[in-house]
Amino acid sequence: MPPRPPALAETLAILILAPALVAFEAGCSDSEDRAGAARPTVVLYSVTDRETSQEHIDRFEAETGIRVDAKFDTEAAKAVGLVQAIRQEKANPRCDVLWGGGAFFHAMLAQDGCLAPAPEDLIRAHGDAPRDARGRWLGFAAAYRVLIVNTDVFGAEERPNSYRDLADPRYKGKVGIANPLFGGMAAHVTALFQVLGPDAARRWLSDLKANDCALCGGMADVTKRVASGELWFGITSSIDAHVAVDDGKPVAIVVPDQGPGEIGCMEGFSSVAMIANAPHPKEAERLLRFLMSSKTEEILAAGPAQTVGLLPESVARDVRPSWIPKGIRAMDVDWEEAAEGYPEATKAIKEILLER
Amino acid sequence: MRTPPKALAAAAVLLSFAVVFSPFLAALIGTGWHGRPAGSFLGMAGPLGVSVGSGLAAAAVALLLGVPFALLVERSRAGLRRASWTLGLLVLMMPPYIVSEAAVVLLGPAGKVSRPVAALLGFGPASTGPIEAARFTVPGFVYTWPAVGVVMGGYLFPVVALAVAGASRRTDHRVFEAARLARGRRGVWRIGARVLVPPALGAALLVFALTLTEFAVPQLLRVRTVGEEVYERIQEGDLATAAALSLPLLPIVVATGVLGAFILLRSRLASLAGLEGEIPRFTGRRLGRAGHVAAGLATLIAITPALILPCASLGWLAAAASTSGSPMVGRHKLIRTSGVLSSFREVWGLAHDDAVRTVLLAAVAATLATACATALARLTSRAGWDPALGVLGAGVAVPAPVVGLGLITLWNRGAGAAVYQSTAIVILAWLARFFPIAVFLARGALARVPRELEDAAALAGRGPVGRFFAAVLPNAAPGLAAAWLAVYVLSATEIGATVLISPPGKPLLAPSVMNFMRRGQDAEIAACQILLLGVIALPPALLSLGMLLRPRTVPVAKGAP
Repeated sequence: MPPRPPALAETLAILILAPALVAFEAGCSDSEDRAGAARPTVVLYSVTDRETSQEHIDRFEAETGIRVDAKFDTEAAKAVGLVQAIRQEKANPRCDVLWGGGAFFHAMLAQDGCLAPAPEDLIRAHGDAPRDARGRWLGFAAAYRVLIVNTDVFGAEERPNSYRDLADPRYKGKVGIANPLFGGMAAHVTALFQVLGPDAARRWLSDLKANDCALCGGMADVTKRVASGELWFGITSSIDAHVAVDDGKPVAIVVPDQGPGEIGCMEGFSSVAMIANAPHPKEAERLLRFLMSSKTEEILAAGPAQTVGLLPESVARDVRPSWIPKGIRAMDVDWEEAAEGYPEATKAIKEILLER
Repeated sequence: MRTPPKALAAAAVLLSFAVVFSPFLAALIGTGWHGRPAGSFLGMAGPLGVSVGSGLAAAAVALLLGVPFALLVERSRAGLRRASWTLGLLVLMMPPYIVSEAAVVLLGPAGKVSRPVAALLGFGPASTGPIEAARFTVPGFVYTWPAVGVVMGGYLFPVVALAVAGASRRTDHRVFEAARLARGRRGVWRIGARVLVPPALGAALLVFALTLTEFAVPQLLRVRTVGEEVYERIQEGDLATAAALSLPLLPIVVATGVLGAFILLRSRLASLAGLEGEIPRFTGRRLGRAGHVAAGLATLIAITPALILPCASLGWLAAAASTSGSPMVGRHKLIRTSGVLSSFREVWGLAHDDAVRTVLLAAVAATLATACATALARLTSRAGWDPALGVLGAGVAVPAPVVGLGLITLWNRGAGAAVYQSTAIVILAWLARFFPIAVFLARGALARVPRELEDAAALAGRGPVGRFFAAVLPNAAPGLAAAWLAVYVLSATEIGATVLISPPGKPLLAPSVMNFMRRGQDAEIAACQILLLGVIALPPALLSLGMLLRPRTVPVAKGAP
């Protein structure tokens, strides 16, 4: 029989003790509070980037004493992350507040009965900012879908300035959008179906296909490919575009379709909702009120999100990053209707762009 | 020596199937898919074909890289062997999403490498004007399904290498010497192929299965696969159909495994039954100088796609990172604005709890998986139920979000909610995804143990537990350590299921890092990748160091020259 190696006993002890220690750690941290006091808690699902939202979480905890147990999404998971988790948890919700993901997915969740209406006074104070008719989600902090253009490829005078330019044969094989089956671009194409009408939208998709439009892994991916010179221009969010400009990449931002008679650019915005039958409704309401404030929009405008204030007080104070021009004309989208039209848009995307 | 009761083996098999397949079944049945019309599968042929093609390419690449790596490195000097294995296993710590991003950055149409090389070869822009030069791109290989295969095969080649190395270690090399004397090099090839092909193909099957439902890599490389179809159905809120769409993948994996086993069994020589594990070890010829150079080259080639290229891309990002000049305010702006080192400090500040939590949980998952896989492999092997383990391998082909959402369906109710709201749910998700890999590697490790050792221990009066600890564990330890390491690394870098089920307030490192990188500038991205690699590699590196430094007893192998 071979002699037992001297390290074997120690190794075995570690293997047995490690799970016990971790189970202990997990058990402790799962309890209501390490200090033992019943510190109030709110569960936040944040599709908004952690780099952006963590600051507001910290402020909320400091101001209210309510602990925020946050859960974040990733770009790699697309919209399959937190939005779907909320759907799946509907019978026994764990989340109290959902922040981010855009009106489109909030409208979907509202249709599925996953969201609870906001308090009446908060809806009234919301002014003209975008929201669900019954207040089941509230929009604020606008970002825009813009064209990101490689400045090494285009001189200042010849830059494209419309979504239609993506279908221009002069740029064949050199344009890109995020995969429209997922995330923000799915919402964008669905909105185009509503604004342009199904026939014109289908024609645009056919033209994109004929123009070998690249379907990238996400809007950040579009931005990177344009910055590298692989693509000449594409549709991305103003947040992603600003990251590239700020990083010194050879790109410029064009706010598209602003001419007379044009459809305007798509306005995305951050949206917040309380979850129906959430475990901590009072704390959820406090977090909702905290986020739905001009102060929050001011910090968002100055931080990595670089968004424009939409709440009445922010509009009055013109809360916006200095590089975003005033008077941007946005597409007029009814998001509830858009969510209903999503299956038709998806079907067209698959038939035309993906040839399925 | 008595065989264990069949009831015990059956219970172990059933429990394993429950761990691996229950999330999938919960997603399929619990959310209302009761034989929906076959229309659910319309349009699936194309993506299915691409997925299978990518999977086969990945398996082929993993074999091409893993087999020579294992054979050459295993026979090289101890120092080179350790260094090569360390580098080889580091590959598994590089998330495949980052590998594919590196492929695009370096080898894409506007790649940092591909564009200058094309220009050097005379395929550059027609004119030297700046706009013409900026518009020059290289027709790309990276946006094709074979590229998905190269990325996934390059990332997963250590699985094949571990399996082949295990088989090589448990083979009596006197057989090779005999074959060399009898039939020269041809004889060695024939014997070697028969001994090493089964584990290599088994591991390649796992690579194939893991590639079938990968989502992030095909998305970045613009390849439409079954994974995309599955994610799209989930986005529509139709989890049951999403789960059903992965149904065709499971029989493909099982059928591929059965076909491979059938072919191997037909060509297997009866006398080879004694080659693995039954004969005392005899170390074959060591490599000469040329062999060591070849081993070094094999290592270099094997780690190029999924380690050297990403590190080169990472280095490029770090070197080219500029300091942002934007007037942003807020505590977390520093991730973006202060260069690589400062970004690293800030990312660590935000994510150090996530890092510690991830390391602990991944270690627990790996320990549980290895221990249970060892027990299962031992029980099924002695009961003669090995084929059941092959079916278990199909679990690897269940898409990650289906596992995550299935676990929510399964556990977010009644008393199960206590599990769902704890970190135990994360471990369940990782076990569901990676337990079959642990079983495969543990099975190989146990096969290395000569049965006569156990018989001797039994004659000496040792019970089943005593025999295991005295005879089996010391001999199987390297293979079991490999199983532990594989599950640890795969768990620590898992995102698809983790992001869905991790408890609020307890984020884990890989999703956090992906979140930070989402809109990251070069400095941020470099810092995040360094953090992820460093944290995940640290515990295995410390473990390896401890193993190297510990006092050794030198076992005297019977039959050694």
